[in-house]
Amino acid sequence: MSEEPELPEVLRCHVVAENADELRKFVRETDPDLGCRPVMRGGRTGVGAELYFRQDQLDRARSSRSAQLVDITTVENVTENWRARKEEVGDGDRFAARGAVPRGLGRKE
Amino acid sequence: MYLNVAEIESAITGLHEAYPEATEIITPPHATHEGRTARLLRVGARRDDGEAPGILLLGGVHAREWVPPDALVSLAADLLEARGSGTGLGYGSWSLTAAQVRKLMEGTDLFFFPCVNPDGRAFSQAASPMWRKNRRPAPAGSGGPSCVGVDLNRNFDFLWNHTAKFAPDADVHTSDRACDPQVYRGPAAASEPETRNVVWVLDNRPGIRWLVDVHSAVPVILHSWGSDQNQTGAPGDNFRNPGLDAVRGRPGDGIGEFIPEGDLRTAVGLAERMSDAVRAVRGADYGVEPAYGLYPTSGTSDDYAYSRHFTDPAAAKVFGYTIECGESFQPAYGEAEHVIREVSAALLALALHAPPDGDGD
Repeated sequence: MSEEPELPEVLRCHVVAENADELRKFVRETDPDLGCRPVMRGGRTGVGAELYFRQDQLDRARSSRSAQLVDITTVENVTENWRARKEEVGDGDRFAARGAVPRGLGRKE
Repeated sequence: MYLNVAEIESAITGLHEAYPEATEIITPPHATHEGRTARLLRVGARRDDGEAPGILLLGGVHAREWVPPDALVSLAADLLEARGSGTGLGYGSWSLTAAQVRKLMEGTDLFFFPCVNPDGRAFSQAASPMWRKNRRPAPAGSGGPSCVGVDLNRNFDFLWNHTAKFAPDADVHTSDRACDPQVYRGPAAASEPETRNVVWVLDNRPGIRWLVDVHSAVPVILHSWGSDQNQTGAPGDNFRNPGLDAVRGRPGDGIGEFIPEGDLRTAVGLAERMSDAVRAVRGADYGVEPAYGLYPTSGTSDDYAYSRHFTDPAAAKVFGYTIECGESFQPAYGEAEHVIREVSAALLALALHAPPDGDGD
């Protein structure tokens, strides 16, 4: 039986609006997690940002007044991804033994 | 495999023991709320006399961003091994010759602070995928899990009091609500031990001229300022001007944060060098942007570092950058390895091209 507490499903979404003001309107109404820094990038179809929503929050965001101003694409289920990534975290301490030195990923040439 | 918190600390110890002549362990004075000590590794072949230009590299400020600490440990290990064995160093089609590695190690101090927020990382890796903050205990009477923690990258003493220092409609990306799950700024500027440790390093290593805070993900390379749109024509319009407190941070209003033209040229030029190095690894286009994007920010490490010499003329000028690496907070480790190479190439490009006196002119 899993001991993991129930975690909300969090989804990373790529949200594109025609311009920054429309993107801001959508964010103001739906209050997503803006990620690390509130960065927007220009593209062919407007300006985009990576926004994070719980599933229930995303459902509400899709039916919000300002949803018509944006195009929302779900990119990743962050919670599901984390469950897999947890298996890729070091178990114990690989460098505890004297002389166990980490090596980098660069090519020494 | 991603490094856990214990492994980051023992990696620092192991690298120092293997390369004592080219490293120094630095222990900042403040233990975290859960009692951990987060250390730095200075990598540089000469004794630190404050004369060599220094670059402070931060990782793990935000707990859920798992790649940056691994990237900094990997880069430190790469540099030390390459110098020790007299080889060059390559990532994709970007590389340094053995002579460049030697010159860099003899002329520059690299201060690796791979995990500024170990309490948060431990919590994110064990229990909470989206945990961003440190683990400051919740205020008395506030019991929810979101009431724990402070966003360290909103806690630095730069326009920290956003409710007083920005226009009410600027929508600054920070919060004064202790239970904000992401961007609580803390009860006071530099209230957090992790923040004070970074400040302590800047205060005590005056050779530092560059700070790069490695985060994820977008990807993008950000330069100052984050508080408002940059402008080079009105020196009086700056973060110290209380006359702007009611209007600061609005987009497109013709009022911006002053940055000297030469500094802007230096900041952008070096960021482009970093972006070029990233592209040479496997073609990724990080691009370069001012940190002011969708919204302004306050209390960030990069703006704090760059603001210090304006606030205190005796302080050295420190250019501040944030690298938002990769596209995911926790990519599969095979992908993380590619991102680690991108970050490594970017940081070495900065070290290679940064002017020794911190100025570009």
